[in-house]
Amino acid sequence: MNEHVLEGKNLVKTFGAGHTEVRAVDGVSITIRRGELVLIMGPSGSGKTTLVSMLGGLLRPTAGRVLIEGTDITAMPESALPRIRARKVGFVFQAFNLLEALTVEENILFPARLLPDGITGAGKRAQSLIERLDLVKRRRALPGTLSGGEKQRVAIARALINAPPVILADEPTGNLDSASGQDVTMVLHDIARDEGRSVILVTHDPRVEDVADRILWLEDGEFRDRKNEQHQWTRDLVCGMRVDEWTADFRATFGGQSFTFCSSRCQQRFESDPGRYASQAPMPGTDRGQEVQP
Amino acid sequence: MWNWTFKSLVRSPLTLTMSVAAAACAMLLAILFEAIYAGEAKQVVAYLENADADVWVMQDGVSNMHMATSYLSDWKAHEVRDVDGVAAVESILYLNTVIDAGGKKWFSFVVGLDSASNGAGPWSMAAGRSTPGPGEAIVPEVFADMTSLQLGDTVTITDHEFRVSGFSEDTFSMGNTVIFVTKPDLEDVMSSLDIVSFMLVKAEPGFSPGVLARSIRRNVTKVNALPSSEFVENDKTMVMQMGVETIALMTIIGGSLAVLLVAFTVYSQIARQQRELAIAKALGATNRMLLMSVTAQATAITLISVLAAVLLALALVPLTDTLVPQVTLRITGSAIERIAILGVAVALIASLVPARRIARADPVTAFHA
Repeated sequence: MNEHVLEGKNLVKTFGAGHTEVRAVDGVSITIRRGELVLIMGPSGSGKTTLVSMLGGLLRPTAGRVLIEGTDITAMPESALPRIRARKVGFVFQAFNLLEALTVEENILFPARLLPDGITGAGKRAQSLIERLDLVKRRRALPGTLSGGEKQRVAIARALINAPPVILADEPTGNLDSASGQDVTMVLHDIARDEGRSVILVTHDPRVEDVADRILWLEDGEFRDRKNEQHQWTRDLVCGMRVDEWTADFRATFGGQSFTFCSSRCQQRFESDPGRYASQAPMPGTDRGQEVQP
Repeated sequence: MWNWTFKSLVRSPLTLTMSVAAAACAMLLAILFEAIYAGEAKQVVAYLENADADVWVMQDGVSNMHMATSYLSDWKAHEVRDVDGVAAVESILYLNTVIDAGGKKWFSFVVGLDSASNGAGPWSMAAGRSTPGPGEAIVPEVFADMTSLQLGDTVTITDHEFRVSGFSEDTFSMGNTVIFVTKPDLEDVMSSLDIVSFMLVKAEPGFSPGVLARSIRRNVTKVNALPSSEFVENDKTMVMQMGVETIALMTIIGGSLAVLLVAFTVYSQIARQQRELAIAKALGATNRMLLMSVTAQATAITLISVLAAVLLALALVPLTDTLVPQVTLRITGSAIERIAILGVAVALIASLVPARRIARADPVTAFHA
């Protein structure tokens, strides 16, 4: 069996042309083994989402090849890609992207119903996933009534329903509070470790580093060595989590000070009552300064 | 997929209701315009269709009644009666003019009847006598309602006054009103004697109207004779070329407006789901699946709208009879069928626009928060 489940070879993606041309991904090669949990990190705009989109068959590379279980999906016609996506890749999005009209169970089954033979046994798999992801009491609920953590667990179950070899997750904890984020991280970790699926995770969440097999640093569309000085650790004032100020996406300013958060959830909480949280912030330049040790 | 299609459609009942209501109103407009057109087209020839004649005889060169002038010497009736196959002949005098009732004027066809008339007069009465006496006129009930005429009131035809002795039914249209007076009275109005305008001929059993009409044309000089069906058709064509063309134009405008509204409604309904369609595409739905989903939704919206529009139209017809009696509405099955087919076709085309955008859309947009 080929242990290389997912391979990206010399991937290039450019947007625009001429003077406005931007090389979002510039000659990236990546190989993911079965059961591996790989983290892709990097500053905003470094090309992480573009790379993951190409690896998942959502976006055609300008140059280079993507192979899933040895099949070159970049050589396939556009019409063949939806089936590859449904069968070979499970997607987990930052915004959950559940279908609002469908119940939890129907959302989970949705990708199975897109395949001619997908529905066979899908009911049992859905039941198993619902139990495993602690969604039993919410199986008939509509997405609008779920918490962020529940939504993301439904999205993970949906990504797993067709038993794909690859799971691609783009900021899966970005819209979750720290507890739910931790929960989702561990689920993804278990998927890789227990089920042998390859999980690629794009995140700013430093806690995930602890469970990752590999961490890749993408900057200006290329993989680079991550330098220690590129960390600027600080503390999320809402949940207390350690956050890399250099890469974090969630920021707010209040009283002339800039604050960084682990997720949009914490950012929203801060913005709902900034005075309360800002009063807990240590004064810059004091020995209780914002910078924390990793 | 179908589960998602259906549930997406009914997810927001208010939005769906608004969409259906907008499309239904547009279709109702088209159905009503069609109904007015069909009603008026039927009504303008109602007199000819209800007159008891197998063959109509008129002056040579004349081939219809509406706005036509036909003069025949009254003795021609004897010649026509002598033609083999003719069972009976009834002559009428006919004048296109204006009737004045209490200052309200209306274009009218005045029919002068023989005292022994039994097939050329009003065929249905709302009140009063069905045969006018000297100095009397029978006017349409709708016209009487519009002008608050009572039996015994006076109307003026040219410079002659007539006492209203009856109200006829089904003799009013927006294009013309049929008034019945005696033939001598109309001769007096027209200052002419011993002439008739048209002859209503009944055929003997075994003689077809077409054969009899040819026989009359061959045997009687300077007359034209047409089977009733052809005469009615000629009149209908003539009327269509005149006033009803305006209604036809209104129907086209109404239909076009309906088409635009249906297209916009369906487009909006589908466009609202663009993000979810992109998500479905990212998860593995093919363009064909998405296309089927949106066209199914468009068809469902349109068919529900057609049904709602037809039910509304059927409910409105009795109301318009009461509120606007001068307008005759006629809803035909073929009109509904035509509007439904047109509506579905438009809805499908309208759904293709957002669907095409989805087909070309990058599923990577699903990654965007």
